[in-house]
Amino acid sequence: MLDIKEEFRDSIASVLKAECDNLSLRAHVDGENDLDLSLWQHATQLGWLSVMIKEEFDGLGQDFSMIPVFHREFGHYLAPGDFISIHTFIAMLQAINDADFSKQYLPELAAGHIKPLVPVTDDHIALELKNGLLQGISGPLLGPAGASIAAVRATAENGDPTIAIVNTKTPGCAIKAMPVLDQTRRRLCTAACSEEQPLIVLQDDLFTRANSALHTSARLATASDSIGVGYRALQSTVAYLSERQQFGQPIAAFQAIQHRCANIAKNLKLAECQLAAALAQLINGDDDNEAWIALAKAECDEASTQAAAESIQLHGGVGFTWEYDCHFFLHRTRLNEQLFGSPNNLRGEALESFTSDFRPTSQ
Amino acid sequence: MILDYKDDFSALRTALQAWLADTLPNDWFEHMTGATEEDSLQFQRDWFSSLESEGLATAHWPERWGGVNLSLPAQSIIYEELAKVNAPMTPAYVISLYHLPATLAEFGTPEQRDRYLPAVRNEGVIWCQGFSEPGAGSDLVSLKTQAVRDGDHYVVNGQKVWSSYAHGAKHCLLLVRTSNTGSKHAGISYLIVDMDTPGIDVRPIVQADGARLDFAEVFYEDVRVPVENLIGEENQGWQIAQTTLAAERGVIILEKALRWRMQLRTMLYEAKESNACWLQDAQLGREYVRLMGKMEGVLTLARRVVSENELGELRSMTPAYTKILCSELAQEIHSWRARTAGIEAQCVSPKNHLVEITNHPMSDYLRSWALTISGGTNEIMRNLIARRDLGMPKN
Repeated sequence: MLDIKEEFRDSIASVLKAECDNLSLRAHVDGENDLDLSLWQHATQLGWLSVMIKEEFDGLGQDFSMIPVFHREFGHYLAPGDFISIHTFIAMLQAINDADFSKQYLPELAAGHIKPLVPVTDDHIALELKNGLLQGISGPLLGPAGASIAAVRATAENGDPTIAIVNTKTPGCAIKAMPVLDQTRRRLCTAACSEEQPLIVLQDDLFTRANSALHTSARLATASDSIGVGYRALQSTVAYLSERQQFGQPIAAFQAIQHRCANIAKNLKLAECQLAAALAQLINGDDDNEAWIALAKAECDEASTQAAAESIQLHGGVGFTWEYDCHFFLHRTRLNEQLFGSPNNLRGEALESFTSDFRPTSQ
Repeated sequence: MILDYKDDFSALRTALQAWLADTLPNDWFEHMTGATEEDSLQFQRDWFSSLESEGLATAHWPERWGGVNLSLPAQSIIYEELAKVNAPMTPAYVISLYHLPATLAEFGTPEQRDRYLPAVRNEGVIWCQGFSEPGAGSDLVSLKTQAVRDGDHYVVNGQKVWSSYAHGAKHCLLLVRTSNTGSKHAGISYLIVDMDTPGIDVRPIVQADGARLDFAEVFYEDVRVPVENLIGEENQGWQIAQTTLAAERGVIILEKALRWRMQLRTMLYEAKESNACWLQDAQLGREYVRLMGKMEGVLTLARRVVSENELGELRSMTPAYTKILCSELAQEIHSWRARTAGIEAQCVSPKNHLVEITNHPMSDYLRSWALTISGGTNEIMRNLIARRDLGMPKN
C-alpha cells in the first residue's frame, strides 16, 4: 500500500515539477498557456483520473487514500485543473452503484473524455423538481463551464433534498461561469435549468449514499489541497526570511519571526495529522467517519489560511505585491474554506452527528 | 495472567475489563474525592501495587527486568481500558517507570540495574528528578549544584527546584557539576542519590492551584554520595540527561492523550443524556467538537513519537511538535470547561487528585500550565522547530 502511494506521489510530483513551475503558472494566470489542459492530458495518460475507479470499469481500483496524495501535490504547486470535481463525481457515481450508469459513464470519465460539475454547497432551494423536470438555478458548482455532465442539488416536490445528474448539452440546461478571485482556479459555474429532464434523480437512500460520497471525497481532496498550499506558503516564507537582510542579518534569525513560523508549522502539523486520522477512520469503516473528516477539513483550511495570511505579513511590503506568490496562497485557501462546507458549518454538522448517535466507548 | 494475552488484542481487552471490574473499587472516585494529598499518595502506592500484581505498570519494560516488552498497540489497549473506567492515575511513578529505566538501560551498570529496577516493580519505589535549579531552567546546562570528589564519595552542595514528588521519593536522579573548566556541557555528571542521606532538605512548593505535594525544592548541604552511584562516566551527565528527557516524550503523552480523548467523548455523551445547557449554545458546541477533532490529530502524533522511539529515531522533530500541541490542547480543553461550567467552577469544592480530568475545571485549567511550561517550555520547543525543522539561523 505504502509503495503504491509513494509511486503515485512521485509520478504526480515529477509532472507538476516539470510542467507547473512558477513561470508556467503565471503565464497560465495571464491567459498565455493552457496549463490546465496539458495537466489534464497527463492525468488521463497516467491514470490519475481513474485511480479510484473499479477495475471492471477500466480503473485502478484504489481506495480513498489516494485522494489526499494527489490533491496535496496539486495544492503545493498551486496547480490549475478540474481534478477535485472529477474525483468527487467518480466517487459519487460509484456510491450510487447503478450498473447501467456506471457502465456508460465511468470509462468515459476515466479516459478524460467528459468533465463533470459538482455542487460546492449544500444549498438546494433555488432549483426545484416538478413532475420530474428541473426548474431554476443551481447553487455554485465546481468544474469547467464546458462540462458535459453536472450533479446539482435540487428540492423534490415533497421538500426533500435530492441530487440530480443532468446532461448539460441539452437545450434546457445552460451553464454559466462565475469568475472567482483565485486565479489558479478562475471560476465556479451555475446551471440554469428550464424544464430539464435529469438523467437520474437521487432520492432517499441513494441520495444519502451519493451525498456521503460527495462530502467525503470532496472534503478529503480540498483539505489536502489546503495542506499542500499551507506548507508551500511556509516554505516560501522561510526561504524569503532567510534571504532578506535587515539590521545586518537575515530576518529569519529573529526569535519573534521564528516563533511565528513555528506556530504556522505546528498548526499545519496538527491539521495534517487530524486528516490522516480521519482518513484511517474512513478506511476502517469507523462510526462517524464523515464527522471526523468534516472536522479535519475545517482544521486544514484554517491552518493553511493562517499560513497564507502570515506569509503576507512576514514578507513585508513585497508580500502584497502581485509579483510575489502570497496572494495566490491566500486566495486559494480562502476559496477552499468555502468549498464543500465552511469551518463553522462543518463543526456544526459534526456536533449534530455526534449528538444524534454517538457512544463514548467507540474506539 | 492478563499479559499472557498480549498478542491477542481482543482477549487482552476482555481480560483487562474483567480484572478492572474485580479489582478497582466502585466507590474509589467518591472515596478519594476530598482526600488529603498524603492519602492520595498512599492510594497511588496501593493502586500501583495492584497494577504490578499483573505486571501492568511495567509491561513496557524489557523482559530482562521483568517487563514483557509490550507492543505499542497492546500498550494503547491497556491505557484505553484504564481510561474507560477512569482508573486512578499514578503520577508519582512517572520517573520510576519511564525516566529511570531509559537512563539505566543505556548508561547504568549491571549492579545499578539489578539493584534499582526490580525494587520499582516489587516494592513500588518512587523516584524523583533533580535537574532544574533556580538559575538553570530553560538554560539547564548552566546548572551549578556542585559535586566534589572526596575519597570514595562525592560531596554535593546546591539547590534543585521543581522536583515532583520529592518528599515521597526514595531516590533521586540528580544532575551535578563536577567540572568548571571547558564547556558547560562537558562538566556535568549524573548521580543516584538516596533521599534519606543526611544534608538533604525537601521543601514543598505550593502550586498555583493550592496543591503542595506535586512540587518541591530540594537543598543539598554536604550530602555524601557513594562513587558507585555515578551513572556513566564522570562529566558524561549532559549526554545521559538527553536520554532521560527523551523518555519524557514517549508513552507518557500517549497515556494522557488517550485519557483526554475518552473524557471528551464521555463528557459529550453525558451532556447529551442530561441535556446540558451548553449543548443549546451552537458556538460552545462547535468549539467542543473542534477540540475533539484536534484530539485525534494529537493522538496520531503521540503514537508517532512512540513508534519513532522504538525505531531509535532520536533526531526526529515529532516530539517537539507533540509537546506543544498536546499541552496547548489540554489548556484549551480546560479553558473551555472552566468557561462553560459558569460560576460553579469558581466555587470551592472537594478535589480528586488522581484523575487526569477532575471534577474541578478551574483547578485543571490552572494545572495545565504545568504541561506548557515543564519538559522544555513551549517557547524552547518553538526555537527547536524553527531552527532544526525549518532550518532558520541562530541569532
